[in-house]
Amino acid sequence: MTVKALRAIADGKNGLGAFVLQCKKLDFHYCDWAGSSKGMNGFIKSLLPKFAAAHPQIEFAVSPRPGKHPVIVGHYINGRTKPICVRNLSPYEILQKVELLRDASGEKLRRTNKAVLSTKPSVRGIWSPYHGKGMAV
Amino acid sequence: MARITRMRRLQSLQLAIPSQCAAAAARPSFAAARAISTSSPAQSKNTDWIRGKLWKGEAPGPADPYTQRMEPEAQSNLPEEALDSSRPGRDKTPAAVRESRLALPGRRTEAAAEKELQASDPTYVPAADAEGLEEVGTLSTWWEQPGHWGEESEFKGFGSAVKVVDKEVLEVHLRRAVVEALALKQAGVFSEWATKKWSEGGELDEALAAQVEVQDGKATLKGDASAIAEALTSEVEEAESSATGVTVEEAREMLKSWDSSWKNIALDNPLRFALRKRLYQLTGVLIPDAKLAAANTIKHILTLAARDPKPLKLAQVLEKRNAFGDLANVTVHERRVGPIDKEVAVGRWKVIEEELKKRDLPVTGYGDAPRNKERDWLTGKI
Amino acid sequence: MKRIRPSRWSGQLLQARRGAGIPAARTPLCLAIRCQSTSSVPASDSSTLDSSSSASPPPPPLPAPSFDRAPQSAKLAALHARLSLSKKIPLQTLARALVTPSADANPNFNNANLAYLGSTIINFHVYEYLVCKWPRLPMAILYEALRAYAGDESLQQIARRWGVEAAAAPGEEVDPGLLQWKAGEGHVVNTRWGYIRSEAAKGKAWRRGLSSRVVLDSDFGDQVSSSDPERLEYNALQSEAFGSVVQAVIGAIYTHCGRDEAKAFVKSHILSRELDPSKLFQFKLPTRELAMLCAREGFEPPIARLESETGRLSRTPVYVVGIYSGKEKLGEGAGASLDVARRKASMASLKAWYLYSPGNKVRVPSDMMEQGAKPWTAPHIDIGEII
Repeated sequence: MTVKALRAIADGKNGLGAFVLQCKKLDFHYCDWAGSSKGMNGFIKSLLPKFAAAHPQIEFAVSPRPGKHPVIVGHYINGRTKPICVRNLSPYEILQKVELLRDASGEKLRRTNKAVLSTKPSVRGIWSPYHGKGMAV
Repeated sequence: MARITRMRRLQSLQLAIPSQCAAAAARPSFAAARAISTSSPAQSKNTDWIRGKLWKGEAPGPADPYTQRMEPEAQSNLPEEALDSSRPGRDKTPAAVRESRLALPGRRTEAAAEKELQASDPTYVPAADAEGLEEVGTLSTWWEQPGHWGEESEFKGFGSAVKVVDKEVLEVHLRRAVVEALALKQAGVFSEWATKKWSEGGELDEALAAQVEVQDGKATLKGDASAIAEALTSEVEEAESSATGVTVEEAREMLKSWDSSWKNIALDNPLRFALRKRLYQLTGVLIPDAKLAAANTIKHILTLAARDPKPLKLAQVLEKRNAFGDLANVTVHERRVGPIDKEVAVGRWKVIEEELKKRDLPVTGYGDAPRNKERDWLTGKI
Repeated sequence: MKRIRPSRWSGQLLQARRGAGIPAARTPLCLAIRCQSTSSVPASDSSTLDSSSSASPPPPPLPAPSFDRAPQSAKLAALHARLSLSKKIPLQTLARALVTPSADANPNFNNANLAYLGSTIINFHVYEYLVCKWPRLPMAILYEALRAYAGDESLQQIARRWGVEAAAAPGEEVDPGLLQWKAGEGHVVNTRWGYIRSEAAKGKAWRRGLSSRVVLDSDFGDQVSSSDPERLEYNALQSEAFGSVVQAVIGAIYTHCGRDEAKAFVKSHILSRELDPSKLFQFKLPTRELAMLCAREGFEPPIARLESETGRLSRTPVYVVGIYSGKEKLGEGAGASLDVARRKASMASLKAWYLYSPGNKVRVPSDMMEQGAKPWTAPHIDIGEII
C-alpha cells in the first residue's frame, strides 16, 4: 500500500449549485415618539410588508427602541453584522438602505481591481523556460 | 466675622437709641441678654454664705445682680410629689396626633427597678428566661400589626379612582350631573348643597330618564326632580355602589336618544363649579380652574373634559392592520428586545440565572449593593 | 457503492471466519415513549383527584423546544425558505431536524432517525458520483474523498453556510430555529454503522486491510469501536451535531418529497462543492508503484529521461525529468535533484493514471431511476489498486 490518503474538506462555492442569500436577518429598531423615526415608522407600515413578502429567506425582526434613533441591522451568514442608522430618512431612502443590506455579503468592504476572481488554474498554463526550444540569448 | 461685626453695630444702635416707646421696656437690654444663660437658683444658694459674710446679715438686692428676671419662688408647703402632679402637664404632642383615630404607639414607659419592687413586694422573683413573657414587637413593625392600619385607614380621594376615558361615557356622566344640578335647583336646595358632597349612589337610570327642556339657555327638568334631589341629599352611605358601569355601546345608544339642545344650557358660576365637582366625583376627570372660566355652556365643559385617545403605538397599528399577517419570517415585538430576551432566546438565561442563584447574587438589579459610586464621582454628584 | 471484487474472492475468504463480524450491539434508533404534549396524558376524573394531586408541581421543562412552537419561529421559516425547501416539508419537521440526540435523547423527538436516513442518501449519491467520475481512485483515496464531501466537517461547513446557529444551551424556551446540541456525557455516536471486528480488542495498532474495511467498517472506512463509544473532542461533537442537521434535512426531503428531490438537493448543496482529488494523494514508493502499474497493464517498463536542466553546478539547479513508457510520455516533474525530479515525475504519471475521468457528464446508476431514462451503458470501473 504505497498510496496513502490525506484529509481535506471540499470547498463550498455559493451559487454553483444552490445559492444562499448571505443576509440572514434584518433587525428594524424604531421609536414611537421621536421625530427622527418618522420615516422609519412609515417604512415599516407601508413598504416593509411587501419587502418581507418578497424575501422569505430573510428573518425580519421589528422591535421598538424608545429614545434612540432608528437603526437597521443586517446579520450575515459569516457572523458579521452591518448596522445602518436611518434617522430622518424618508421611507424610500430607507428602502435603498435595506436593499443595500440585503445585497451585501457581510464581508468587510474591499477594493477589487479584477473583474473576475477564479479559483481554477489558468487554462493556458504558465510559461516555462525549460520547455520548447528555449530562447536564444 | 462680618456677621459678628454687624451684630455689634446693631447692638450699639440699640444702645444708642434710648427707650423711645413703652415697648422698649419689654425688650431685654444688652446686659440682660448677656446673662440669660448662666446662673440658676441652685447656684445662688451656693453663694449665699459669702454674701452673708460681706453684708453681715441679710443682703439687699437679688442674689444675681446681672439677672433682671425675678426668680419665681415656690410659695408652697406641699411635698414635691404633690407639686409635680398639680403643675399643669405640658403635652407637646401635636393636636393632629392627639385627635387621631389611628392606634398610635404608646408613650415610652419604664418598668420599676428590681430593688424597688422587692421593697414593696417581698415575694417578687425576677424571671430567669423569656418563657411566658408577653411579646410586644418592635416599633418598626407597628403598622404591620393587625388593627393598626387597615382598609379604613387608606386614603380615598373625592374623585373617582377609575378615570373615564371614552368621550361618550363622559357625556353620559355629564348629562347626569346636569340633571342632578337642575333637580337640586328645582327642589330649592341647590345653594345649600353646592358646597356639600352629593351622594354618590344616586340612580343613574333615574337621572337619565328625566327630560331636559331648554329655552333660551334656561333649562327646566321634566320628571321626578324631587326623587333625584332626595337621592342626592340622602345621608345613606352606600358601600361602593357607584359602580355604574356604562359601556361605550350603551353610552352611544343613550346619546342617540337625546337631542343635543341640552348642551346649550348657559352656565352661571355656581352651576359651573357644581358640574365640575360632580364630574370629578363621577369620572375622575378634573377640569383646570383656569380653563373652567371660559366654559359658558355645557358643550364647552364637555370639550374641556374630553380628551383625544392616545395615538396607537406602531406595533398596535401593525397588529390592527394585520400588516404581516401570513408572513412567517417576520416577528413584531411590542416591547424593546433587551439583553435578557436575547439570552432567553438562545437558552443561556437559565444557565446565568442558575449560576447567579448558586452564588447568592441578585438575578436582576443590584440587590443590596449600592449603585456604582464612580459614576456619581465623575458626574460631580458627590 | 462499495467496491466488491468477487474475482479475487477465494474459498477461504468466502467462508465466514469465526467472530469476524458481529453486528453492532448499539441500537440508538430504538423506540421510546415519552409524551411531549401535556394533553396526551389522559385526563382523570376530577372527583377522584384530591387537592394535593391537583396542585402538583408543573412538569419539568422539556429538553428541547416543543414542535408546537415551530410555526411561530421566524428563524425557522427563513431557513426553510433559504434552502428552497418544498411546501410539503412542514416547519415542525425542520424543527426536529435541528434537535440532536445530545439535547433530547428521545428518538421520537430528535433527528437521529432522519439523520441516519439522510446520511445513507448522501453517502450513496456522493459515492456513485466519485466512482463514476474517477473510476481509478484507490480505495483509501475514495474514502477520504467521500469524507471530504460528506464527512462531518464538510457537512458542518454546509450547515453553517445555511445560516444554522447553535443555541447556547438547549431547552424548552429556546427559539426552535436554533440548533439544539450540547457537548456532554452520555453521547451516542449514532450515524456510524458497521461491524465490530473480533480483533478490535487487540488495539488500534492492529493492522486492518483495505479489503476488510470495505466489508466490515463504516462508510468512511473507520473502525466501528466496541460497546463503549469513544470519547470525542468538543470540535468533533460540534461538527457531528451540525452535520446531523444537513443529514436530517436531506432525510426529511427524502421522506416528504421523494427520491428525486433528495438527489437534486444533494447535488446542488453537496456535490457542487469543489474538491481537487489530486491533493489527497501521498506516495511512499512512486517509482516502484509506477513500474508495477506498467507491468500490470502490459506497458513497456517506465524509463526516466532528463528533458532539460539548468544550473547543475549552481546552488539552485533545476532538472526536468520525464517518464517514458516506450515512446509514450507518462508524466513529467521538475526538482532540485535528479532523484526528486524522477520521483515527482512518477507521482505525476501515477496521478495521471489514477485521476482518469470519463468527463464531467458521467451518468451515475441513480440516473436510471428517472422517468424515461436512456438505456444504461456500464461505466468504466477500474479493477483496483496496483499493489
